[in-house]
This record gives sequence, structure tokens and C-alpha cells, in this order.
Amino acid sequence: MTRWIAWAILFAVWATLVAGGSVAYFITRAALLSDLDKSIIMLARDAPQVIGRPEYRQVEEEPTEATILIDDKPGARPQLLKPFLKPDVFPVVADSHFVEQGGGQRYRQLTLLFQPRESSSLMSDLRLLSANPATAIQGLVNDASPMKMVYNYPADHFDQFMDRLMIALVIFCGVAGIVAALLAVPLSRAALRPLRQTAETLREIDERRLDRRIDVEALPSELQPVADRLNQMLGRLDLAFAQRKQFLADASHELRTPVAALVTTIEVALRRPREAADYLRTLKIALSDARLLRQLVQTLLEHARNEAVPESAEPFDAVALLNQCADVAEGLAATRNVTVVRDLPPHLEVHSYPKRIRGIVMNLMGNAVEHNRSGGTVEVHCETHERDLEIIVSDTGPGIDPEHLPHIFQPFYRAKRQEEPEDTRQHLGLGLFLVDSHIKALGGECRIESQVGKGTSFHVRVPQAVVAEPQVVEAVV
Amino acid sequence: MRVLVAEDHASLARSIANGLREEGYAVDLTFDGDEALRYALDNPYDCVVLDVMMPGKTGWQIVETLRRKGSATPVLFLTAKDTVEDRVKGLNLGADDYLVKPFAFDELLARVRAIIRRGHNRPSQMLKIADLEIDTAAKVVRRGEQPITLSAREYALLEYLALRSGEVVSRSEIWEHLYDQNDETVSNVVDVYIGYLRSKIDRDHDLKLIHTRRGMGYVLSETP
Repeated sequence: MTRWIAWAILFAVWATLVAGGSVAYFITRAALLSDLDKSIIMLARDAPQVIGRPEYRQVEEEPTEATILIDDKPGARPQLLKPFLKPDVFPVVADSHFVEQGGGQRYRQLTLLFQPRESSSLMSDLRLLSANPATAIQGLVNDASPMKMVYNYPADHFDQFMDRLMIALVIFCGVAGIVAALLAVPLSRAALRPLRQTAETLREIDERRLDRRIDVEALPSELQPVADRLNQMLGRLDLAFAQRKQFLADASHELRTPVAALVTTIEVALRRPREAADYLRTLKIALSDARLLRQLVQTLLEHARNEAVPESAEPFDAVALLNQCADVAEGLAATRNVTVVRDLPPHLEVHSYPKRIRGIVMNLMGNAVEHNRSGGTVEVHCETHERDLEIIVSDTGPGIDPEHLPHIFQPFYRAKRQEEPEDTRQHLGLGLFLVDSHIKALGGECRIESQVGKGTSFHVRVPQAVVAEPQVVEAVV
Repeated sequence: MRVLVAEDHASLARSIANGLREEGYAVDLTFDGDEALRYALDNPYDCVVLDVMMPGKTGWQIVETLRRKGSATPVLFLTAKDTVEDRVKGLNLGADDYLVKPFAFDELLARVRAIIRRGHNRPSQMLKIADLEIDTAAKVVRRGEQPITLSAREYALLEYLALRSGEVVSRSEIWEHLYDQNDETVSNVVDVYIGYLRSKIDRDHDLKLIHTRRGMGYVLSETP
């Protein structure tokens, strides 16, 4: 990257220098040339050296001074005159180029056409300086035909100036190019430093240091949105990781106590020989702890599966599924003198994840039955709102204290127990955590309405899965 | 020795209590933090085995309160939290030792014995008074070269007197340290056990070790 930026800087500077130098050179040259030509024209106007009429294309070898040579007739000897051009006569430049004559001397040669206007003469009042005024001048000056003039002017000055300009430009561009080359690498390093520092920061971030963030202020403004997004992503990762770490810590904490109980019970029992009845009692206690462990492990596995890649959504009858759950709950409810009420339509076809829906409903109904009073009811209801599936599970239990409400979805959260310790062993505090984990996986939400002493209802609302359109693959022939 | 076991996981609490009782400890049991604090403040325990996370008060709050109220009762934490911070926190609050779950019951016993001895300023597991030797780990008692067989209650009484050897120990103290809340004992049970101990330890020896301080209690020492 550094190398690319260095090259880019170098090429940009070099290209600018070459282009700028060339433009400067040619503009200066054009301007100077036009000045030169103008001064030649002025010279020509003031003191034209007329070689002859157009038909006499005879170029004077070496013009010396402003004179006009007029050939009257072919073969006649030219006469020397001082001509006067009319003030409004300006020549047209018919041709202009450099010529070399006599020993490499360069001239600017202009071929000027003096076009007479309105059939009048080019020349104003003739003041004949010739010794023989009677001859051809009259004819010329009265002649309305155009006059062609070829004017040579020494180009030494111009050439010298252009050479110097060229040398100056080449030296300047060369020095600037070298300086640019020397600066390119450090400059590109400097330009990349924030990126490098960002990379350094990112390299230092691992699962133990997710609290680190990229210093957005230190970055150039173009990179700031990227860094902001990265920081936001790090924040989300940090939170998710912290939650998972907390869950693992809680889970291992929850595993320790039943394991300790199991081991201690067996160790104490084995310290001395005992009666068969004692062993039986010990085994029963050990079994209850082992069952608790099994339940804990199963729940942890279920949660781990929830976090894995979900199964694909499928169409199913939500009512049939809820009826199955209600059947299972009824078995448990019967032993506690609780009635399960089904407030369900005959059919409700939805497109979602039946295993997750079952996980949610089973846990909610199980809780509703367990935390209920004798003679109470558990009611299950379902409907669709727009594209969302809403399931409501209500109980007539003791309700949830508002103090506990914000925490009930936390793993291993248990409201302060009033019951006997043995009774609470069945409750790991993971049921609602699993419900929450399923609902989150489905992108839904759960609203709880609870009145202490009257009961609780869980309103679960999950969006249906989008029915996947068959993909159209366009073939390119 | 009287121990309070406070642990909310019932089967674990019961197993620990049973194991300790079989080792001759008088054990009180509670599953609740508030109750544990009340017990610890009301009774002169030789050791408190305390779970950290309990309904009601946490083990940490209990230790803090005990120490603030000037109680020096040795406290052993049973904790499922094994991070260094958690362990340091418990010790800083005034706990004497900790044990991370799951643990081996033998280790729990060894630590309970150790902190009880330390509570009485007896760092060694061997207690010696004249030619009487008590191995508190093996629970073996010798007078001279002669091993002496004691019942669990007799041993507990002798160990308690030995830990406080040289001090006068009142009957009520002995009673409080040897019997848990559920023991329904008659008031002269201490005298009866002292009689048993005397017959086993002092009867065949000229140098008597157990002395009665009339109106005050008993003392175990070389000098009368």
C-alpha cells in the first residue's frame, strides 16, 4: 500500500511537472512568437522591403534596411524609394516560418499580403525619393493589385530566450521531480500512519480485549465512517461475548453445586458400612442430584443448538402444534388440579420454525402450570397480526413481582424462593432464558403482563419467515 | 465441636451435616442466609461452613456482619465461584478459608479441623497435655503408651477441653459446643460425660489431668 501511494504521488507530481512545463513552454513560445510577428509587421508597415509584385517571387537575400524595392519591368533595375503605406492598410500573414540562410543564421520569415481596398492604392501620397520618379512608381502605386512582401527578421533573440526557458524548465522539473521522489515514501507513510495504527489496534483485539476501540478522532475524515462501523461492530461483539461469558460462568457455577452435592453424598455414605436402607436413601438423594445435572446439561445443549445455524422455515399448522403442546401440558396440569383452556381457531397455517415455536410454547406452558394455584387455569391463544404470529399463554398463578420482571429472561435467574429448598431444585432458572433465546432467534418479541396475585400472560409475537421465491437464473447466451 | 452448615442446596447441606455428625461434630443446619446469620450470632460455633450464594443474605454479607459485630468465629466458605477475585473477596471480608465446589469431603473435614485448631491457637494436629496425646486428625487418644478408646461424645468433650487446656471451661460452654440445637439433653449430661472421661483417662494414673473448679466448671491441665 505504501509503495502504491508513493508511486501514485510520484506519478502525479511528475505528470504535473511535465504537463505544466510543456504548457508553460508552448504558451510562452506562442505569446513571444505573436509579439515577434507583430513587431515584424509593424516594421514591415513602417519600412517594407518590397520584393516585388506577386508575380515577382523574388526573395531578397539579406534585407538590410527598410527599403522598398520595386521592379517596374522584368529585367529593369530597381529603384530605391521610401514608400508610405496608407495608415489603414494592414497586411495579412500568408505564411510564417523560420528559415535558415547563409551559415545557419535563423530568421523569422513572414510572407505578408497587402491587400488594397476599394481599388485604391496601397500607398498613400507618394513622395518619390527616386531619382527617376517618372517611371514605374506611378504605375505601382496606382495599381490596385495586392502586394506581397516577404520579410526576414533575425531569430537569434527569440531562439536564445526559448532555449533559456527550456533549460530553466527542465532544471526546475528535474529538481521538483527528485524532491517529489524523495518525499513520496515518507509522505505515503505519513498518509498511511492512521491506517497502520488502526491495524495495530485491531491486531491487539482478541476475545479478552474486546473493550478496545479504534481512535476515530485520529483518523482522516474519509476513514472515520469505517472506523465508526468497526467500533460499533466491536461493541456488539463485546456485548455478545460478555453475555456468553457470563452465561458460561453462570452455567459452570450452576453445575458445581449439584456435582458437589452428588460427590459429597456418595463420599459421606461410603465412609463407613451402612444398612441397606441407608444406601437406598443415599441413592435416592444422589439420583435427584444426578437428574438435576441431566436437566441442566440438556438445557445447556438446547441453548447451544439455538445458537447454531437454524433449520429452514417450513409451512405448518400452528394450531395443531399448540394442541400438541397443550396435550403435554394437560398431563402435568392434571396432577396439580390445573385446567388447560385452548382458545384456538380450527386452523392457522403459518410459515416459520416449528421446533422453536414448540420450544417457546412448551416452556411457557410448563411454567404456567407449575406456577399456578390449585384449581387455576392455563390458557393458550393464537392469532396472526399482519404477517406476525402471536401466541398468548396466560396463567392464574401468583404473578411476577415488578422488581423481578426485568430479570426473568436472564439465565439462572430465580426469584427469591419462598418454597421449600427441595421444591426449587426443579427450577434451574433456564426455562424463560430458553424462551427468550428462541424468540430472539426468530426475530420476535415477548411482552409480559403480570398482576401479583392474579396471574401472568406472556404475549409472544414472532414474524413469519419470508417465503423464499424460486430463484430465477438468467442465462447469458 | 459445634459447626454451623449454611448451604441452600439441600442435599449437599444434609450430606455435609451427616458426614460432620458422624465425625463427632454437633451440627446445626440451615438453607437460608438470614437464618444462618441469626444462628451464627446466637450460638458460639467453633466453625461456620458457609455457602456464598444463598437466598436471603449472601455468605459475604454474613461474614461482614459477623466481623463487624466482633465475632471471631472461624468461617469456611464453600463457593461455586472460583475466580481469584471471588476468593480474595471472601478472605478479605474476614473468612478464614475457602473451598471451591466440587470438593472432596475429606478435604472439607481437614480444613474444618484446621480452622478450629487455629481458632484455639493450636496449629498442630497433635494436642499434648503431660503424657496425654490427642491426634485430632486420626481421633486417636493415648495416655503414655496406652491407647484409650473413647466414644464420639467423649472424644469431642476431651478435644474441646484439650483445645482450651489450662482454661476453666464452664458447663454451659461445654454444652453449647458439644450439642446442636436439636439435641434434647438433660442438664447434668456434661457431668456424666466428665465422669466417663475421668474413668478412662485419669483412673489408672497418679497425675490427674481433669480438675473440677467448683461453681465454675472444669479444667484440663497438668497442675491442679
